[in-house]
Amino acid sequence: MTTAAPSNETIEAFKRRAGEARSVVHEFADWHAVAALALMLAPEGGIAVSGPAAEAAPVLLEDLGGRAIAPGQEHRVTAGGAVGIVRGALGIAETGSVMLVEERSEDRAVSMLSPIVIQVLDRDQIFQTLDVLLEHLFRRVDGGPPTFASLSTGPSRTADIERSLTIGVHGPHDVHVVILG
Amino acid sequence: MTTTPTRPTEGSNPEMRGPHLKPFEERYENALKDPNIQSGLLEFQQSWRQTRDDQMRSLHEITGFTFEDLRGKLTQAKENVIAAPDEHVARFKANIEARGGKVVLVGSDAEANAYIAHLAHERGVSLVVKGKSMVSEEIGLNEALAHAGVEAVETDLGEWLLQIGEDRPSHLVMPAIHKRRHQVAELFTRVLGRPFDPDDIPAMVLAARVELRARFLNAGMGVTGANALIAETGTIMLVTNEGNGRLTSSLPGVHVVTTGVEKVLPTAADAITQIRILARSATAQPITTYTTFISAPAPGHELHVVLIDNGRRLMSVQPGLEAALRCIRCGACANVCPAYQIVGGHAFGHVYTGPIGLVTTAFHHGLDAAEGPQSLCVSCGACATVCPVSIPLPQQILEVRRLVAERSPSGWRTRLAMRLYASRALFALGTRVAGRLSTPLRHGRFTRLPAIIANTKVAQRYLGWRTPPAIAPVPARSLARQASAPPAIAGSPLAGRKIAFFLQCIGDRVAPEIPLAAIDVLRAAGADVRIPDSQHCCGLPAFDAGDHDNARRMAKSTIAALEGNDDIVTPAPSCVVAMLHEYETLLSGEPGWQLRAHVMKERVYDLVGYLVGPGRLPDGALAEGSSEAVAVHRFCQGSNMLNAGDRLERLLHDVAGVDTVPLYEAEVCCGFGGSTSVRAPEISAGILGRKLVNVAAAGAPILVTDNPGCVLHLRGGADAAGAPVRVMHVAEYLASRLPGRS
Repeated sequence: MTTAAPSNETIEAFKRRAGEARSVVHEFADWHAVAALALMLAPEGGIAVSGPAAEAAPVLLEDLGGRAIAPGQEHRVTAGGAVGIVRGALGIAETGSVMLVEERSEDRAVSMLSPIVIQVLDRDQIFQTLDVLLEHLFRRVDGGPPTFASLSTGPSRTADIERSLTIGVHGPHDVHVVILG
Repeated sequence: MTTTPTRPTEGSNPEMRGPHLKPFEERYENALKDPNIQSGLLEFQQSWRQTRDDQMRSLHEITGFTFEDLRGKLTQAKENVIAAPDEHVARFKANIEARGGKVVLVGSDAEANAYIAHLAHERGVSLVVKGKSMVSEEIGLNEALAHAGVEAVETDLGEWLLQIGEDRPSHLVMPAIHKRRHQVAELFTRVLGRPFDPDDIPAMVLAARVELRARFLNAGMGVTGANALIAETGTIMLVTNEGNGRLTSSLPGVHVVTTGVEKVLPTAADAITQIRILARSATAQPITTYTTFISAPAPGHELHVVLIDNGRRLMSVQPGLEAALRCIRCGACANVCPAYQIVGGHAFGHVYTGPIGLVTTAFHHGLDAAEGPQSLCVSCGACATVCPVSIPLPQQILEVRRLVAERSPSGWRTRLAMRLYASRALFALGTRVAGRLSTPLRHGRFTRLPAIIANTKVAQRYLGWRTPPAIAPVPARSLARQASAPPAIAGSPLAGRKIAFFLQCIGDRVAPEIPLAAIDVLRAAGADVRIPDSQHCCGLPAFDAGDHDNARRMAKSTIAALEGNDDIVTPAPSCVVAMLHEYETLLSGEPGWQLRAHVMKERVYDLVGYLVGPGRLPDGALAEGSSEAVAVHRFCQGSNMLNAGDRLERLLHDVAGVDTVPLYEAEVCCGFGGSTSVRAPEISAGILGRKLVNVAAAGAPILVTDNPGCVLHLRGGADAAGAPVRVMHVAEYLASRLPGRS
């Protein structure tokens, strides 16, 4: 996808709204910094990497060394990890959301089961409004929408007990969004 | 849809639809006994209103769209589907099946359950995890699976704690809103066998995460609902906050979606519109944590979409009710419903609770199930103002009430009472006799019963919380004839206007001071006020009770009495709502009468509308008078159906030179609600209590409002509660400031 670089205003709005949704936003130069963040967030324990993330950055698994849980593991193995690293396909400033495109069940498990999730997004894939989904998700020229895509906006949450907002239910309790480049 | 319309058999296996479904009367009484419901829901409604309104304001800032813009767009999209469901369903089905999904269309709840149970058996599934799906509640899927030897575990936290507590959801979005933290802690302690601290909610949430994580990893099938089905791309849209929807749809090898055909949206752009308005309307969030788009099964997995009719086709061909199919299950209608605050969702519905439940329950679960809760609606109209798909809920509830009344075994009593009420002569005789009989009990404006009667249980239930008004010894229509000309307002601003004055039945016989004061103000301004003697009741009570024959009878006599004058003015905006909103539809079978109703509509005003509109008085015309602080209660239907806004405050400011004291929740109903105070007095009393708390907080010694029903209700309530506030109709307040009166 070739698109004009997003304006600073769009990036700032994205960062603000992602922050309002309780994501922690970072701006990194490259994937090495992503690996370093993961190692810092999980001094011990495994770090699961999704297929699309590994594909985008072959260096990632090397950087993580013995701590890496490679893509395609059984759900139980992924669930045992401390951090998950996934690829964000799009960022939406309107809502502070990251679009995750996850075809395989094993890749989804990384963003769903890891208690801490790092979503890595290219700076030039951040857009102003949800309308971008029409072109970049629903009407892709290569055969319609992906099998499974999610707008992910902050950590998982519930207010089912007395409407008291509690962060971290079935999904991650911490979400880090990395803007790359 | 290729299936034939199906309606569930009346009263069939209610036990199959979830645990503990008790008769309405029992649910109502239980709700009143639970102190957690009223306090919890009051807190919830007040904070939701605030955050929801904030969200709708920032919506415009962020997207450039207003709430009205978006609800217009989404309403149109939904209408297109309701008009041609087969076409859109076929498109959705073709698209998703081309990518490996399977769509099955089923008519009844039993068929849906059988399909899913069979699929579970075929795949050797013994454990099913479930995301929140109201449709699965509607069809009683959990019980059906249990019957088939398959365990189904809810994974939405609220649904799960209801499941382990053998309870039922009471709200579309927040199913366990009726539970307080100590109740949840007790439940967790009992079920999980270790102690939980009620104030440590994160610990309870963590415990649920651990318990359910094991189920996610072991389940062979996941069942979710759907928030939308996008026909254009064959995509299922699912929104959740907890993340359980993504897990349920992704980890098990088989994903089953249970949903209704009305969830189909034509295009992806429509789905984006829905995203923008759904979470803001539901939980007052800009977007939920996860919005998932599923367009095919995961590699090696299966995806089945079970599209259920269960009464929906029938609804789509029911004039006036088909719009209920637009519902996106946001729950906003319940969040502003004053009656919902008093009794919560269990009393309201079967599965679908709150105002929308009063409509849809009749179709999914039969008219028997829908009958009891009908008495809960106070017709305040608040629900329609926040509905993101513009469902005309107040009108639909009255329509279901009509259907219920027509077949109810006790309906003849209502019809007989309304037939008697419709007769002006009988009504006059009845009120005269009652007035005579109650003379010894008359104390000023109130009827006071002797203690021996007043202290009985029955009297307490119906009258204890609201002192009944006295019946006037002489009706307003006679008093108006004897009244002397009022002092003139300088310049006689209304000189030359011929006004047909509508007294309103209540005002005429029970609160003559109200119409008399209104007549005084209009005459003082120079108007030629005529009081046609053949007028009686506008028909609203009969319409409210679902008795359209008698409503029509009264509507016609009202039109005949009032037509042919310059303006028609009444101090009762409730009657104006009936004349403007109901008459034409009510008389649609008789074109001649319908035309007369239409012509009359152009000339009808309630007093406030008249005095800020064509009958505008000069600024400061009534500025002389008491300087005591005044608070304003806005008549709910005026706010919700006549777009009244702050016109009563403006009238007092401009004409009387009075700056009113702010009243919190000024536009929330006072609880009068017509027949509700007789059929469900606890609802009326509860809503009145909420109003009186706000009135006390405002601290003004005078409360002004503009509907006689509200005046009598609030006056009686303030008297019974010993509240130091004088309740006045705006006409009385203005008349007290006429030159020489103050």
